[in-house]
Formats: sequence, C-alpha cells, structure tokens
Amino acid sequence: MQYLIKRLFLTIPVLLGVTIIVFSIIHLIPGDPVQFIFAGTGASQAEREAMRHSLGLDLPLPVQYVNYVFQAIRGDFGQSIHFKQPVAELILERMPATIEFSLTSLFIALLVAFPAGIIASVKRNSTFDYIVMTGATLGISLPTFWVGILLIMFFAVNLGWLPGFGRIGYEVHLQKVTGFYLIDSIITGNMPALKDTVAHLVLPAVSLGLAMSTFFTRLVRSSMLEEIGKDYVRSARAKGLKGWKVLVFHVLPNALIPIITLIGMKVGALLSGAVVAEVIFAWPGIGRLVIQSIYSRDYPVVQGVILFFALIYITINIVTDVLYAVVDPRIGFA
Amino acid sequence: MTGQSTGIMEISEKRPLQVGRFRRVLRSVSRSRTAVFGGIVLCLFVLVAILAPILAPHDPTKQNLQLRLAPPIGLGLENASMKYPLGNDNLGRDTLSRLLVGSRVSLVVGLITIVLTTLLGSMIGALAGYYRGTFDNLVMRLVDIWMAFPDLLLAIAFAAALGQGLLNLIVALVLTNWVVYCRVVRAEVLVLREQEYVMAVRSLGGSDIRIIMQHILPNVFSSIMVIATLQFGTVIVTEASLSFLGISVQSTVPTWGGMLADGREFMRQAWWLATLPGLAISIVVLGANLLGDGLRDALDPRL
Repeated sequence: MQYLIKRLFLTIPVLLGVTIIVFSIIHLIPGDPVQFIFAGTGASQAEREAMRHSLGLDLPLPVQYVNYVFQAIRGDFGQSIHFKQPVAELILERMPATIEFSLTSLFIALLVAFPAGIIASVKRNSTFDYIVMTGATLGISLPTFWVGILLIMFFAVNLGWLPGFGRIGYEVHLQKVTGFYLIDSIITGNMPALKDTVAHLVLPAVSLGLAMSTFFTRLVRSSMLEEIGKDYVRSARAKGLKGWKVLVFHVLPNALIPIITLIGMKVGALLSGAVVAEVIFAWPGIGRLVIQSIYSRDYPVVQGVILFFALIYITINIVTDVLYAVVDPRIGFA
Repeated sequence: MTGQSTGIMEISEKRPLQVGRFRRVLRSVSRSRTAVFGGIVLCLFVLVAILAPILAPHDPTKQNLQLRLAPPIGLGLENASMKYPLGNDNLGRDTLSRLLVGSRVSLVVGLITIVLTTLLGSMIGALAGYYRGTFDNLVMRLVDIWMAFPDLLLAIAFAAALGQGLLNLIVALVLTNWVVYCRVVRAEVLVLREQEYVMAVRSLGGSDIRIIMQHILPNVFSSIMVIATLQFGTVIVTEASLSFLGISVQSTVPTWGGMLADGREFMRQAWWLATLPGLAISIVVLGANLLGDGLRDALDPRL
C-alpha cells in the first residue's frame, strides 16, 4: 500500500510535465495558431477573435497553462472546433472501440507468442525454433500499416471473406449498452451482431496482433531459456517430475515476471499501432479521431487525445509495477 | 608537468587497441551471414538513394494519364511495358522512378535524425551521468515525462504542430527519439565514471570535458552504435507512417509512405501500387534490424 502511494506520488511531476508538453503543442505551431486553424476558410476577423478567446490564447501564457491544468483535472479537455462538442465527450464515445480493438490485438499477440515462444525455447535450435525466430525477425521489420493493407487487399477485396472497414455492418442492428460491441451483442443475445463484430475485428486485430507477437515471441523464448538453464529446474527434474509439469509449474511462473513488465511497457507500441491501424481499417476509435483532427486542424481534440493516451499509459505502467511486486515477492512493496 | 603529460599519454595510448577492437568487431560481424546481408542491404539502399536521379529512368513527377495504373511487367497483364518495368500510378507517373527517388527522403530523414538524436541524447545522457546531482535529476524527470507518451503519437503531435516540411519532420523525430540514447548512455556513464582509469585521468588534472569526450564516450560508443543501427529501422518506419498519414513532407515529394497511401486508394484495380513501396520499406528495415542484431552480438552481449 505504501509502495502504491509512493508510486502515485512520483507520478505527479510526470503528470505536470506531460501537461506542459501537451499544452505547448498548440504553441509549437509556427506563427499565429488561429491564422493556421482558419487558413483558407475566409473566416472574418470577429470569428478569429472569438476563436482566440475560446481557445484562451488571448491570455498570458502562464495563466493559459494554469487554466489548462485545472480544466484537465476537472475532466474538461476543451471544446472541439470541428465537432462543436466537448473533447472529453468525443474521446469517451470512441474509447470502447479503441479498447476493444487494442485488447483483441494484444490477446492475439499473446495467443501466438506463448505457444511459439515456449515450444521454440524447449526445442531450442530445432527447425521449429529456427522458423519461429526467422519469422519474428522478418515480422518485426514489416510496417503494421502495410501488413494491414495487404490483409485488406487479400482477404477483403480479393477473396471477400472478411470485411476490411469499420466496426459493424450498416445493415446490422445492435443496441448499444457499454459501447463494447462484443459485450453488447452478447448481453443483448444478438447473435448476428456478434458474428458481424467478430468478423470486423479479425483483420485489424490480426494485423496489429501479429506485429506485437513478433516481439513477445522473442521475449517468451529468451525468458524461458533463461529459466530452463537454472538449478531448480534440474532439481525438479531430478525428483522425478514430468517434463511438462516442470515447464508449467516451475519454469513458466518465473519466466512470466519479465514478460508482464514488458507487456506493460509495450502498451505504448500497442496504442501507437492502434492509431495507424484505425486509420487503415476505418475503425471509429480514438486513433482515427486524432488523425482526422490533425487534418481539420482541430487542436483541442489533438491535445486532448494525446493527454488521454499519456494518462492511460502512465496508469498502465503503475498497474504493471504493482503487478510486478505481486508476482515477484522478492521485489516487495518496500 | 612533464610527468603529468606522460601520464595522460600513457592512458591515451589505448587508441591503437581500439582500432584493434574495431577490426575484431568487424570480423565478428562479418562471420554472421545475416548481419552481412543486413549490411549489404543498407549499403545498396544508401547507393540507390544517392544515385536515384541517375538511376531513375523517368521524371518521378511527370504525369501521363494515358499510362494510368499501368501494371508492372512479369505479371502477364495487358498494357505492361518494358519502358515502365514497375508500372505507373494513378496519375501515370513511373513507379520505379518514384520508388528510387522516394528512397531519398527515407535516407535523409533516417540518417540526419539518427545523427542528431545520437549527438543530443548521448551528450545529455553523458552530462547527466557524469555530473549526477540536480542536472541528472532534472534530465531523468524529463525522460520520465517523455516516456509517458507512446512514441508514434508524440511524433505525430510534433509533426502536426510544426507543419509539413523535411526540416520540421526531422525536428519532430529528433524531439521524439532522443530519450532512447539518453537513458542508455547515462546508465553506462554512471558506471564508467567510477572506474579507476577515469579517476586516474582526473587525478592527473584532466578536465571534465576531456574525460567525457576522450575517455568515457569512446567506451559507450559500441552501445550507441547498436541502438543507432536498430533505431534506423524504427525511424524509417515512423517517417513512412507519418508520410502515409500525410503529415510529413509536401505531398509533391515522392516518399514510400506517401506512395503507399496513394496506392491504397486503388487497391481494387492495382494491388501492386500499395505493395511495392511497403516491400521497399520492409527490406530496408529488415536490413537495419539484421545488422543491428549482428552488431549487438559482436559488441555487447549484455544488451
């Protein structure tokens, strides 16, 4: 508990720094941000001044920043210029889509990485190991957005097996409860919607999941190899435990420790990947929102989304640290 | 006085040893077939990018609507012509020439970004690790703050705020990536500064700058090389992602990411348009990763 409090306390300066960076994004725009936002729209001088006022740009810089932080603490991320809606509302509307997509991708990544990594480590230097490691090296070099496009071209355009765009077909009706379509379709007992949601999820989640899996496979393999070489494994074998029992009950729990931390650290890559993948698959999530907002020069939304992603990332890192202490009693909460 | 200078001389006589070490590393890397392959790929990439204007058979920006979406040769499709071996894009521009010239943005951005981030990150990291104290604390908090953002998102934010253009793109990437070097160099310098040979130089009156530049940084060099090589691939993918999203250089300049984005619009009629630039990116990144892995094995088994 003390550890948790200390950990939370340490995040305060980081949070302040994060807000400074996000706050300064709009001030990085060369010249007058309001001119830039309205470039080529022929807005009147009065409109420009109104925008300057609503963005708070007519105040002194320190006052602007303090206002920004206090508003953010209250959950007020500003007002979208394009959508004429609070930014927080826009983010919350799209959040389930992004979470559903990211978690499914992570699930696929681990589903591939654990068996592949474990078998590769047990059968070290075998053909299987060789294929897995080559695949991982090749896979890590493929840009996610390209893999996504190839998947769409092959499975959606050519074969027509799976949909390549969006979250659910227009013709499918689904009553929205939580915003997570998988959960919504299950609790409302809507089988056609569930089928359609899963179909829409496959290609985006596979493209992002495969990209992530290359990293995790290497990690699981090296982590397992390190543990397999240790004395306790030899002892467990010597006392007559079967090979798989040693692996599952002795080696795997220990190998999990570094894996958990690195899963936490890879959330950044997962979110980054989700941003680009959402654009490719026209997935109505937060990533697509931020890119659209960049195109429409909707800076409050851009700032809001980036702050939001940073908050998620920081939270997950705290959770990982705590989990780490739970999994490995040696680290403790000291 | 003479005693002091000979003392320093003796210490700096490590140099010939370092040349020997370089040879040893080269030999070790050259033994790994994949690392050699990676090195060759990267060399070819650099050559192609430099010679692109000579190699390109056509003007990469010249439009010819009659050749719109013409396919590459070798697929057995109609309209393929030997004059345009990789076909033409939606505006009839020659794909091969665009791919060749497009490599230039990737190379320039990749190389300059790596050099600048390496310099900036290593210098800050070295100073923080060497002087410790308040400056170190400040730098480490800054690193913590940077680490709170997903990489690509930070690059997107900086690039979007700074606006289009090669220089802005590089600034955005440098601002995003410097922390990687900073952390590693700081950690290594923290250890090195306590080494006896550093104390020896210090006791002989060597200035801090001299110690850092001549005695500490050369020993961190191998780690920096490994990260820089591996990061080269990452920077190229980030550049391609930003170009793909349309927030890098002006759209009139051919880039692999931009070509991918254009090709995506025509994936129904011309699948090769989005496939070829992606393949080019993947090959270069694979080269960087293989060489980086080889260097890491040769230089620093700990990493």
